[in-house]
Amino acid sequence: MSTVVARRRPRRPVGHAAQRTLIHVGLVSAAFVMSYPLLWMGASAFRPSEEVLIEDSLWVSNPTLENFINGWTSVAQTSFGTFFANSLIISVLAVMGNVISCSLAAYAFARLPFRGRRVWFALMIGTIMLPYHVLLIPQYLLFNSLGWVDTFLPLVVPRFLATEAFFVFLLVQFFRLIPKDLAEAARIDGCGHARIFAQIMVPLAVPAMATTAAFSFIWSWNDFLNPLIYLTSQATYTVPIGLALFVDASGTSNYGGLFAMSLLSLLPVIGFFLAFQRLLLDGISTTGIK
Amino acid sequence: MSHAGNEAMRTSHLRRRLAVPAAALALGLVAAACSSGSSDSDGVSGGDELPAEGPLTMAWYGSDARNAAVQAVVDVFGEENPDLVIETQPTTFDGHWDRLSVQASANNLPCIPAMQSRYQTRYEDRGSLLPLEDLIEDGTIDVSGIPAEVVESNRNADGHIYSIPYGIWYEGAVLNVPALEDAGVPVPEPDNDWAGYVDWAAEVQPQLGEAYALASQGGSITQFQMWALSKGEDLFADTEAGFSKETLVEWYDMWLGAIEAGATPSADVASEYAGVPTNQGMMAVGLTLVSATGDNNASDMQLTLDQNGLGAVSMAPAPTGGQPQVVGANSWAISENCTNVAAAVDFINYFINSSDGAFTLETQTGLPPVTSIADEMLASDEVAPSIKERIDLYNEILAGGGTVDIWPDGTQQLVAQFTTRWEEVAFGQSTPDAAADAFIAQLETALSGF
Repeated sequence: MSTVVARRRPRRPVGHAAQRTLIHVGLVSAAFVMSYPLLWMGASAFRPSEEVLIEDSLWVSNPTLENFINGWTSVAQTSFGTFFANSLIISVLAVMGNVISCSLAAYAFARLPFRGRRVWFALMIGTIMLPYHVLLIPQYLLFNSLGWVDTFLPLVVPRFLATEAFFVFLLVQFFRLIPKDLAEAARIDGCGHARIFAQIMVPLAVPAMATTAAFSFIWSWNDFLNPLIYLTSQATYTVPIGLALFVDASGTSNYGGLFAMSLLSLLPVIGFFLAFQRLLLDGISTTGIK
Repeated sequence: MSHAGNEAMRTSHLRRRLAVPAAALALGLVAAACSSGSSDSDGVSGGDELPAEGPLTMAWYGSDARNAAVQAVVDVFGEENPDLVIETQPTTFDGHWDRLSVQASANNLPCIPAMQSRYQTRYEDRGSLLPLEDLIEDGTIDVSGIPAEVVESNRNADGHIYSIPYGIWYEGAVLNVPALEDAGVPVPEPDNDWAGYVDWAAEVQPQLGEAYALASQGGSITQFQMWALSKGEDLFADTEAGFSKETLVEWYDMWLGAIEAGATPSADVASEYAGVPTNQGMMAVGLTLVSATGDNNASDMQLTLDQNGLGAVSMAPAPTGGQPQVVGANSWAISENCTNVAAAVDFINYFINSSDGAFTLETQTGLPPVTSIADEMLASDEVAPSIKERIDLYNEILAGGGTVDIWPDGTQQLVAQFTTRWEEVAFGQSTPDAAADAFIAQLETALSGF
């Protein structure tokens, strides 16, 4: 006859629960402090414009949608919807361009043997260290000579040419983690590089490509200087340029409109993050991005 | 605070996150290297010979309301010239100069770029703009309505005139006279210098309760310039500071003394209000009763004072102790690479000489420089009294020998640097002597082109 011995769960010390509570209170407090500016912006979007800069609490005593209506239409001759559409077009094309071109370049660096591969890779990595402003004028001269100024082309075409060395590096690191045996097996089965890339590497690299897509989208959506330089007519402006128009020292600023449109401008970024959250986390954990 | 002073101050507080100020310097330096054209150009003359091909491109700066007003005037000009293709490039003040730096480097400036008296020298010296004096002399560009001294003060050291003022702004003292009278204190004399205002403030402060007699101007380079003018000096003298170190040390000591006397807000109180819009600043909410600001800001202050029943602002000349004060100007120029100079000339003539345009703009781009239009506004019932007051004071400044103050290239960053030096003094991180040395060194570095 066997003896059943009831196993008692080890009792946690009384102090443990208190310690956990304290940790959680601390974390929640820190999270609140970190997110306060964002919450304040959200609250300010619903305040009457004249109260925006004199009210620092999160409570909105006189909520109004006036800032949204006013902000959407206040920029002369152009609705804010145009700025959203322009930003969306540029950002989506930038995502497509970066994902396609950077993954192809990364595959080449990771798996194709060619003369000077290490040197070319080092050179590509070296471009990350070039300050952007050093490149701005030569790039402008080039795009101006091509007649691309005041079009989306300078903001989109380079993305299809694997010019974002950071993403190439990120994808190279990921491709190097994939066992070579897979590609070699496919090769024995008669696959060329194109098929190995499309049918083996790409499906396995989805998390890294999602990370590339997310960062591309966010950087492109938030980019201010490039659209400012290349997009000169108001109908081509993007969201960051449109937001800047609300606040200018040379006239009365529209802070209510600014915060309302800023709140709206966050939605696509948040939406993108939520949609790709799982893949992003996978990508970040496997590529070592901090 | 002046229009331009305000611009730079707000830049430091709001413009931030984009690293554009650092970019501007880099862009400017590269633009210098890449800029084409020649500053020795002889310009053009004769309306019949002017190039007239291609669209008319133009760029200006401002908030959305101001941009809309300028666009409305451009639209009317477009309706009168239906065959002309007009392409406009409005943006913010900072964005305008960042973009212009790059465009200038590629010799791709818009036909008509808006200029400003503190920024234009860079483009003039580097040959990006067309000399206009021949067009002015033969009457192709009609500046007959603008006082000659205003046009002339735009003349570059190379002898050419590159820009035509379309809006004048200036900085003066603002006084809440009803509030001062309610408190039973005398109103300061308008011909004071800043020392006179500070002495007055220290004397009346005990009678003002929680309000401060005077807003500190320690960090305002524009008001320091007025102080230097009152001493027969100026900000710049060719390649060096136009003022003595003693003048600057005295300035710092004066404002430290005002804080000590409780006549101006302490450094921490003042910093809480730094960068807030004029209509929410200390003067607008009745916390200070005398201050200095750009003429275009007075109306914003008045709106808030009216809402709260806290008095009314009156503008007085800047405290130069009776010396002529300087004003600023927004101007139109024509770029060296413009292919439709004829249309550009037509537009400038229309913009500066159109009475309808001036009424549409409602002085959002500055006071009209053409005397007859300013007079028309003074006589009109449609024009707000605050605008009329600004025009009256501008006329007074002009009669007193005021001129447009054109800053040398590379000196725009001094506006923020001057504020920083003062804040170091006010917070006890630096002595007036050390801060004066530091600022003069910065100024001389700026003038040397580095």
